[in-house]
Amino acid sequence: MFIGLAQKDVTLSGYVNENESGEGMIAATVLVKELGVGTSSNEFGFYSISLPPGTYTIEWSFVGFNTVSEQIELTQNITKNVALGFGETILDEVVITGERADVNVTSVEMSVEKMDIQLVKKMPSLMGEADIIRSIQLLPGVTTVGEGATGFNVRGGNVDQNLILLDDSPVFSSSHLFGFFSVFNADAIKSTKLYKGGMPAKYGGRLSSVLDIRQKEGNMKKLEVNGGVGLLFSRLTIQAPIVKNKASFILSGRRSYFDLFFPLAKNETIKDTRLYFYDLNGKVNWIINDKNRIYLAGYNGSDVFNLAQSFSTRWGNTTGSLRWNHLFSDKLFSNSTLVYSKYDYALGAETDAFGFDWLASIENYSAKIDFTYFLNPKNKIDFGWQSTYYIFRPGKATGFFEVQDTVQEFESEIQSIPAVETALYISNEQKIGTRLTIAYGLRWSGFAQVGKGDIYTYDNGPIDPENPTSTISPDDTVQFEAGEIVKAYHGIEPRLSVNYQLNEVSSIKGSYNRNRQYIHLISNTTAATPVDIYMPAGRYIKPGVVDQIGLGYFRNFADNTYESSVEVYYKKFQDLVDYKDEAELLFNNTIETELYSGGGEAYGLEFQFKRSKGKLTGWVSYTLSRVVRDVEEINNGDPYPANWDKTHDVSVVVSYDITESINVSSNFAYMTGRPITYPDGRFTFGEVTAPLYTKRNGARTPDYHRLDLALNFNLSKEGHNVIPLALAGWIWPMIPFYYGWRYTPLKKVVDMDLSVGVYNLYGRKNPYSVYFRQDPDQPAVTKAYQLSIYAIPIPYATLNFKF
Amino acid sequence: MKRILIYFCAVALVSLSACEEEISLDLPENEAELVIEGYMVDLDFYIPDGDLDCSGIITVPHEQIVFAASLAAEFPIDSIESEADYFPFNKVKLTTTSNYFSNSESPTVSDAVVKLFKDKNLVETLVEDPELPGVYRITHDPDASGEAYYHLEIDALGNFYETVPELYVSTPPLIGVSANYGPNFLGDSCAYYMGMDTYETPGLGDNYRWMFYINNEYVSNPGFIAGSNDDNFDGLCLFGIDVYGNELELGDTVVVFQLRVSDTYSSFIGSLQNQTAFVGSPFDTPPAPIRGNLKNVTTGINAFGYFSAGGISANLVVVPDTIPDEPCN
Repeated sequence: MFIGLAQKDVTLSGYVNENESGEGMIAATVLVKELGVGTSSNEFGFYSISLPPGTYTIEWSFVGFNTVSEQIELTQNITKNVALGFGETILDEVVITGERADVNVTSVEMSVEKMDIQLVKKMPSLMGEADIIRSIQLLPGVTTVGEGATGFNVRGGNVDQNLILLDDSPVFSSSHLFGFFSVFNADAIKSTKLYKGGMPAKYGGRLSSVLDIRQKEGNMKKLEVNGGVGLLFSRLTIQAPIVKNKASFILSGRRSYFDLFFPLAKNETIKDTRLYFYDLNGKVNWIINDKNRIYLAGYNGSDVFNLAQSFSTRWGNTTGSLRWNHLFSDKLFSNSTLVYSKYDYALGAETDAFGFDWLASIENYSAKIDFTYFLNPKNKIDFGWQSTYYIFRPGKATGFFEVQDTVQEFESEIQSIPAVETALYISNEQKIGTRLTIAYGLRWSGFAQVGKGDIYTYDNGPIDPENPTSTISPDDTVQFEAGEIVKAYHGIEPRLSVNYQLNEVSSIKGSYNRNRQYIHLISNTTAATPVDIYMPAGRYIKPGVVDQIGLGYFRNFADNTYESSVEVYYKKFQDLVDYKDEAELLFNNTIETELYSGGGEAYGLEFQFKRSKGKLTGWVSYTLSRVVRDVEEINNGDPYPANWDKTHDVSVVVSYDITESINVSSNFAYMTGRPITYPDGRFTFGEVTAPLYTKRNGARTPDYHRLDLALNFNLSKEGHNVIPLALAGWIWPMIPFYYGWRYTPLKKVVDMDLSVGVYNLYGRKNPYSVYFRQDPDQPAVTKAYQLSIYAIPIPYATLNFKF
Repeated sequence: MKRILIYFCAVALVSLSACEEEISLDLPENEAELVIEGYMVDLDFYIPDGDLDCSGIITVPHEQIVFAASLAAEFPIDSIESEADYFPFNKVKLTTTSNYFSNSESPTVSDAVVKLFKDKNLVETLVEDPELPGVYRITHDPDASGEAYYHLEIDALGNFYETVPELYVSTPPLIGVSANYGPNFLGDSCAYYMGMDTYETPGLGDNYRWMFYINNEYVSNPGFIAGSNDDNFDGLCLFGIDVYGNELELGDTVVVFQLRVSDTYSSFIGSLQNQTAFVGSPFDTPPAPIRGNLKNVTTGINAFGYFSAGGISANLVVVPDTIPDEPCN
């Protein structure tokens, strides 16, 4: 080994790819053995490390893959692309993450969760559909209002406080069928990373979390087809090279098909009903040369419900991104992206005498550029810029009604609202000595609602402080020309994360972040619905702000087989949107008269214990937390729990390889019941018995708990025959398919696995809500009722294939 | 629109084994507070100055409108009072709140002093009906020739109460009610449905409530509270409009009352419906106080219920005993 002294550093850089498919590997480790320094690849698989000239032993590694080790003489800048192949251990281990095993201790990141897609596919799931959003709800700090609720809540934040990115495109609604399933097809997804706190400066625009999801890029080496057939869904993914080792594509689709059985019904209405959802993912990836790569990705998905010819509703996301990776030098990496995203929703109804169609949407166009400058092994600088143009369309209704054989048409529209959001950021991740790593950064963001449009004005404001529930009418209207600023906001958002490594197996971390959010989801139902509208900050709606601090202790055991962490956090919210009682939010062009502004706080403790190696893997997590809202006009000015406040949250996720071909996995979840408002009494008016409500969210529903179980069989391995078939015998249509595969040449080219399981194994009737009604036959008698979304165990079976 | 969405939700939930069951709960004891239910009404109609222009399609001569209104004025609104199970007009009923699971009739409040004011001038001290404890009758004849604000002042339960003044305004006449045989909303069955003929007072900001009696029995289901503002119907002629929505049985006698009500009454009755009829779905509006227009001046806290004042019109139809021969489409 020879190390040059007092000479200018040279750079080793390149891409780390997976050998079989050519996919870039995220967070692969690049270690310089002699110096004990290293780096990791970014989300595109690119790495760069600057060293004094010399000869070094470099190791490229990724858990579950064979490590590549090579001695390199570094006398000038070198580009070295490395392909890692599957290791022997990948067949035995179910890994939680592909990163180095002690990254939870050594990395400066805290409050970050990464879901391994392979584990997600093994976990028991609703109707056998691997679901990323449901899986992250089993992580500490992540909850939901209840089953059937769109979205998820992170550390006390509302569902609109999560920035969900699919290949850099924002996704506004992450759920199908009112939260039962997510929009993300696990077959198309490469990686999932959730930031609950300590957000890097490159992320912004939401208060509580970032869920960064990356799609696969497509197999650059060979054609690969995989999919699955289930009771109510099927999916298919095709990926192949366009030009071998240069360009590839992936196309993935999924559709539910329970509506295909409706034509068999006798009832004419059901016969004409359509109820389904679908997802379509696509991506093209082209390596132009060593310094340039292009990615084009898109997604389209929708929920459709048509009740005969009378009623229809539809909602869906469309996203697209075009990215260009460019290496200005071996140290300076850039990613330039153009993004399009649209979320739209529609309702319609029609009879002979009356009909309407209502449409609303949020659409945005973004341009961004992110740079990473690998200054030296101790400093990595990120900086960049982003600008987004929004169009909010709160609602347009058209329709007709018939009066005495004459058709009258009507049309009404709440004006569109354009807005612009811009951000600049810079941050540095710096290693100080051997124990201390600090990531510090600054983000500046600005937002402006712009014309063209008419803005109502109110002489005394849209809310009467003396009588806040009263309806206020506008006093005047101000017109704004196209591009003219209606109202602008801006502010800085400091970011800081610190890791002090106590020893090889433990560390203490801390973080602080300030975030600003300029768009709000307007919803006054217990659970958000797909037809809730997004509104920008403007003259009457302020942007939300949060300050979050976190502190954590991280400790690994038994050569990183076990990982443990304890984190505490505190969040202070400002200028959150809340609603008048009985607020009219739908199709309201004076919506500012229905909204209040207030603050809140959230704090908690999260504990997690995880096993990442061996036949038995999984985790136990516990969260103790509190989320409180404080709005002067609500609850007589007294603070009240948020709808998603759950004091205790326990999750146990276990996966065990019984044999090489049989795996059993189980989830158990327990949560404190959610806050609810109970009546203090009742009164009678017009023979209607009405409840008296005074204290908002003063009670709780009964606690929630649920157990799920799954058995996964790798049918391509020897040593099974009867057991999976006996268990899956009730899904008899699959049996001929199985034997057709097993006893034909198909078996040599097609890999098959079977998942069978039960969601809600012991049929717990978890209360979603409790409500109160008078007896229809005896109006003086009032009763309490509980609504449970799942009241019985729900079995499933899914046959997956790959070739 | 959100009600339709709730229907869709119900279908989706049923398909995934959703379950509703009755449960028992311990709820706090209630401290009794006054509840008011009162309507001051009269047959006062808005009649346009000239001919009635129905969106250029037809024009109804002024004389015909006057004649139709005179017929409507002859329908005695209290003609069914003695037969009906519930008849709230020109009365003020005082009760109190009670425990939520008390499961008995609301306690009535007798011997209260109830005074009616018009533009802050006392016009009547209401007398309690000796046959109906807690019910105080209104005999005052409101004058709809100009704006007039009516409010009540009440001494009861050791406290002093006031209602927020209500503006008394006339209502368009309910010219006719019919029973029409036709398809339902989904188009998969046929029955008799109510049709109503009236017209709307020009100028936005009018609100209406309709009440229905089937064979002298008041339709009291919270889901059937029918009311509307005039945002989509301002100044229009309305023929054959169905605000009841449900099937009519053969031979039924249907009496419809059309009341002109205030904006705050509309909010109150809408809130009453939201908190009683539209419950049980994950997507319903969260529980909220139902704010009326009665205030406990002594304690400074809102009491409950509503006192409304406005014009009224009524009409009836008898549903035929047989189904027509011609096909329903």
